[in-house]
Amino acid sequence: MTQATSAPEVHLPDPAKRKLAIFIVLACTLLVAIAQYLIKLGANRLSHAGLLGTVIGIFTIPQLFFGYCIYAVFTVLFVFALRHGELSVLYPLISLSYVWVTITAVLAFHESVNPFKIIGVAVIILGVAVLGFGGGEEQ
Amino acid sequence: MNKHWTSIAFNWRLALGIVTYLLSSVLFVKGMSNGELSILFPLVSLGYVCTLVWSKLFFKEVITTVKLAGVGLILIGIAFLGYGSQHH
Repeated sequence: MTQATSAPEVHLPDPAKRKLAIFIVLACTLLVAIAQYLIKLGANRLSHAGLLGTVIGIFTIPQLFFGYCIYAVFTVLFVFALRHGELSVLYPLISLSYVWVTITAVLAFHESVNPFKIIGVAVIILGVAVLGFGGGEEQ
Repeated sequence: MNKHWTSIAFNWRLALGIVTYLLSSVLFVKGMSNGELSILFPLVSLGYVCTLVWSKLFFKEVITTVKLAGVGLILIGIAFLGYGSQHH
């Protein structure tokens, strides 16, 4: 059977695989957090670079390079998860990485704790839970 | 039906998606190095809204009330985080 490329295929969702896809994306948010932290570290060195300097910097600054490598691993896993899950559910789940980044910033780098951050973390977790558990129901 | 990995290698949509993402991330890194963090969160929120729209338009995914609630909560949470990160 040849792959028709004129329109994207619509897969019939398999509930077990959909749950696996959600779990994979949630686990991968840890990778995203690590990658974002490395990229931010590396990007700090680029404040005087132009666009070309930025592209070169991605390959020459170790934090940037490894940050993007980790992001590449995440991307592969995300594409795999997309085969069995819906984009409208899986993509927002990535925002769980903000929770990891915030927790790390507070615990490891002694950033300030304030009510906004606490509420923000709690509400994001709530939103992720709603999406993860409720996103699969068809109406 | 050949769902082999080679179909991923020659999948032009995937390749285009990856290239577009790499381009956007170069701009993102550049913006991060100089820019204000406060603009980051509204733009991220815009990205989520766009993704919802694409999902409905191109993949015919049903945007249920529950999904909207989940994404809405996440956006509110991101807004709180953004505000909390600005004022130490």
